[in-house]
Amino acid sequence: MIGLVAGIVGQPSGPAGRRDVVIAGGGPAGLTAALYSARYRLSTVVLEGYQPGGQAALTDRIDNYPGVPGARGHELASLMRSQAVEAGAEIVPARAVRSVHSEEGFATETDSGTFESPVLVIATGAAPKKLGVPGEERLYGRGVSYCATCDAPFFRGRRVLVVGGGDSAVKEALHLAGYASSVTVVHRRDALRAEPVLASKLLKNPVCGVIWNSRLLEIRGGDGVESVLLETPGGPRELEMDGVFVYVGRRAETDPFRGLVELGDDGTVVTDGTVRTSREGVFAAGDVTGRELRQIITAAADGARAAAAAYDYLQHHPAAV
Amino acid sequence: MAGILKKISGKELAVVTAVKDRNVLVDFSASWCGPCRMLHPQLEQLAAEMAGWDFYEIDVDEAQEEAGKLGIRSVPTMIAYSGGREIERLVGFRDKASLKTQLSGIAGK
Ligand SMILES: Cc1cc2nc3c(=O)[nH]c(=O)nc-3n(C[C@H](O)[C@H](O)[C@H](O)COP(=O)(O)OP(=O)(O)OC[C@H]3O[C@@H](n4cnc5c(N)ncnc54)[C@H](O)[C@@H]3O)c2cc1C
Repeated sequence: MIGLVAGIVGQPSGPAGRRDVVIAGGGPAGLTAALYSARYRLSTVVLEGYQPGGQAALTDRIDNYPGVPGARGHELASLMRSQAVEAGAEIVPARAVRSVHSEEGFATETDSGTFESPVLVIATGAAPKKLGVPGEERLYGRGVSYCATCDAPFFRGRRVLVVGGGDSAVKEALHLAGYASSVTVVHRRDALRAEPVLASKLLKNPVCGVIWNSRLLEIRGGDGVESVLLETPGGPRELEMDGVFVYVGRRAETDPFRGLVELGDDGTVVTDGTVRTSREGVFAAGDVTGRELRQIITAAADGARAAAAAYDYLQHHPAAV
Repeated sequence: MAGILKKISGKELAVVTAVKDRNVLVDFSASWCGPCRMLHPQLEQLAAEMAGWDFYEIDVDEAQEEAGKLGIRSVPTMIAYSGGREIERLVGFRDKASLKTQLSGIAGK
């Protein structure tokens, strides 16, 4: 299969320079924006950062993207990627460091040179939040993980804790149940926030259990995770554990755009409800915005809208090109 | 001399990391891991550029015993050795530039 692997290995660090549209982020939002933008015949480059395909590539099964039941995350992501490339978009493994407004539009500095464009699409998505508990940082990679799809095979026949109660926590707990001998979900409320289909699957799974109304206080261990300390309604409780998977939400990746566009308190890009930001010529799409639903389909839809808005903007500002 | 990123088996690990007067970086990766595939070309380039370092890659699925002994629970994990001793452990993807800075920083340890 062509896609992520071929793209990453085969491509030199992208030729910096000027394009009609620069898209920061190579997840579902950025790749869809690129597909549409290339089909509008705009010269288009995607700066895909370090995670080609975005978070979508980091989950095993996707059951709610219409038309593709039971899609594998990395396959769906690499199909989106190759479709954008076939349409004429360029994808480069560059990470945006800072975008500034210049006389001729926007200049986006990356670790592989500066990209200039009259239109910028911000689609840098979100990254997992850390808990900030003792042991979390020291034992990262030694039992602490933020990606079950990446690390589940290390926990074959072992005991794992999943922190969180939303869609991601529950989905990844179910994925881990295919490997681990026990999966314990610790959730700070008395009901899961995850969609009912997922929640009931978890509650029915014989390998999985939930500890309600509780918080993780500390992760303990020497060379690897050995136990966790929880605060439960019945008092503190220490449980022997081999792994801890953290799914307590995500933080928008907007540092490079601070000062260029208005950001909300939670760091997401403020939009007018669709894709327009506080600055003309800059559009935002996907998880980087503060939308209520953060899914592949909504990210893709935003991407399409951002490209359409970019096209429209360039029609009305021909001098910008 | 410009080096290459060499794939080794788990059994070869002890031998290649024991070299004196050289720093060694071993990347523990897996075929099913996306970030590992991204890391591979970065390490290939570094191997060609960083003369004081030897670069190796091990597939954790083919070296389960060694990976287990080292407590590796995530891929990619890179372990830097000096004189056979582990001096640093880096978990997760890093781009070439930041890896180079980090490796140059620890080489003196
Ligand atoms: C574990 C898990 C399971 C999920 N399961 C589902 C599911 O079943 N169904 C569903 O619809 N959704 C699911 N989601 C949510 C879905 O993956 C996201 O909503 C979607 O990927 C958002 O797309 P995006 O393009 O906005 O951002 P992302 O997917 O986050 O992509 C962001 C992109 O930006 C790049 N980037 C970041 N910073 C920079 C920078 N400075 N410069 C350049 N590039 C940068 C990254 O490398 C990446 O390519 C899941 C998420 C997780 C974490």
